[in-house]
Amino acid sequence: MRHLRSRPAVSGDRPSPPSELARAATAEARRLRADGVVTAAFERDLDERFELAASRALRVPALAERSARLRRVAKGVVPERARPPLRRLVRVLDVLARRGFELVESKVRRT
Amino acid sequence: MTPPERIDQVIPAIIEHDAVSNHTFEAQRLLREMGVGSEIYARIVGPGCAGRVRPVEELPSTGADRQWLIYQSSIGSPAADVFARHRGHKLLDYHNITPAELVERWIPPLGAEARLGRRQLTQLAPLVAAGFADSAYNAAELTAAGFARTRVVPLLVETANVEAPPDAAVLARLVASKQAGGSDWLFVGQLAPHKAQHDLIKAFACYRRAYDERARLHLVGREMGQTYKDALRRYVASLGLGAAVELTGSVASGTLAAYFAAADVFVCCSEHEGFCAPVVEAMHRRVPVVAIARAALPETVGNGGVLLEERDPVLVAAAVHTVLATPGAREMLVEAGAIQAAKYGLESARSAFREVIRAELAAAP
Repeated sequence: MRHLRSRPAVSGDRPSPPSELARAATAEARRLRADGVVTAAFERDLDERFELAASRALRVPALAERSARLRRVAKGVVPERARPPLRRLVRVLDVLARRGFELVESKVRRT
Repeated sequence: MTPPERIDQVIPAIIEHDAVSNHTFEAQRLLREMGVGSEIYARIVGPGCAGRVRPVEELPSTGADRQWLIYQSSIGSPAADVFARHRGHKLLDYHNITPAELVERWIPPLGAEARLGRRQLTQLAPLVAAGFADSAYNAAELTAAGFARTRVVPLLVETANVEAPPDAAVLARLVASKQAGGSDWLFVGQLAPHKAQHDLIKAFACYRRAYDERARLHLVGREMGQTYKDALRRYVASLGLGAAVELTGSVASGTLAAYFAAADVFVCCSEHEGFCAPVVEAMHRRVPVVAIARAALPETVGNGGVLLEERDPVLVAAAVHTVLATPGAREMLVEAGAIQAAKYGLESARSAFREVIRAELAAAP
C-alpha cells in the first residue's frame, strides 16, 4: 500500500475543517485498500488500460504522418498515371492509418 | 512623468472562453477607464474575437514615453519578439507556461512552443520594468527567470462569464439524470494532458467501484489537440464508462453555469496549473472543491477546499465520498469556498490591477 498522508498542518495552528476532511479521506482510502474494495489488480488494470488507450491514440497521428511520407515517396518514384495499383495502395494506406492499423514501411516500399 | 497616451497589450493568441483572453479584455477595459488608450494586438485571433483585436503586425510605435506595452505571457510565440523589439516602456503579465515535458508526448509542437516560451521569458526579463503574476507561484517563476520586480495581481475574470444564468434546457437535462440517483462530478478546463483528466477518470472509476455506480463525470472544456481527447475517449470506452463520462467540448456561458448548478463536487486532478480560474468559479458558485495540491492549486484553493497531497485515485475517490457523505461537510466546504473565492472577486482584482498600474506610472523614470 502506498503511503498516504494529508496536508500537514502548520505547527500551532488549529487544523482548518477542509484539512480535517483531507485527513478523513486518507483514512478512508486506507480502509478501501485494506478491505479489498479497491485492489492492487484493479488499480493496475486502470493504469494499463490508460496506457493502451494512449498508445493507440498516439499511433494514429504517427501512422498518418507515415502514410503521408509514403505517398510522397510513391509519387516521387512512379508517375501516378503509369502505376494505378500503387495509387490504390496509397489510398488504402490512408484508410488503414486513420483506423489505427500498424504498417510496415519496408514492405510497402518493396511492393 | 507624464502619463503615456496608450498602454497597449500584446498576446500570443486570443480566443473565446479562455481565462487569459478574458483577463486581457478586462485589463483593456480598466486601462481605458483610467484614461489611456488601449488596444490588443495578437498573433492569433480566434473566432469571436475578430473586430476587438488587431494583428500584432499592426502594433504601432509611438515612443517609450508615450506608449507602454503589457505582454500577456502564457506560451512561446513570435509575438514576444515583436514585443521585445518595440521601443515602448514594457511590462509583462505572466500566467505561467505549462512545462514542456507534460505536453510534448501528446502535442509535440506545443512542447516546442512551451520551451520557446520559457526561453523568451528569460530573454525578456532585462527588457521589462516589472512582471505581474496572477499567483505567488507564478511570481516565483518570474523571479527565477530573472525578473527584478514582480507583483501578484489576481486574474481579472469577466463578470458576464461568472454571473451568467444557467441554460434552462441543459440544467433540466442534468437534473433529470439525477432522478436515477448518483452524484455529479465536474471538472472544467481544456482537455489537456497537464490537466490530467485521465487521472480524474481513474479516480472516478474507483469511486463508482467503491461507493456509487450511478455517479456521473462531466468534463467541460475544449480539447487541446485531438490525440489526448482520443485517448480519453478510448479509455472511457475501455472502462465501460461511456454512459457515465461526458466530454462536452467548449460550451457557452449559460451551459457552463448549468453544469456548475448541477454539480455535487468539483474535482481537479491537474498536474500543473498557474492559477486555475475554474476552481475559483466553483467556489464562487458554491460547489465544494476537491483538488490535488500541485503547482498553484494550494494557493488558489487555500482553505476553501479539500487539498490532497498525494496523486492517488483511491484517495481522490475517498475524498469525494468524505465530502458528500459526512454530515455537514458539504455545507462547511461551500462556506469556506465562498470566503476563499471572495479573495479573487472581480472588484478586488480590478483594484489590484489599477493599483499596480498607478504604482508603475509613479515609478517610471
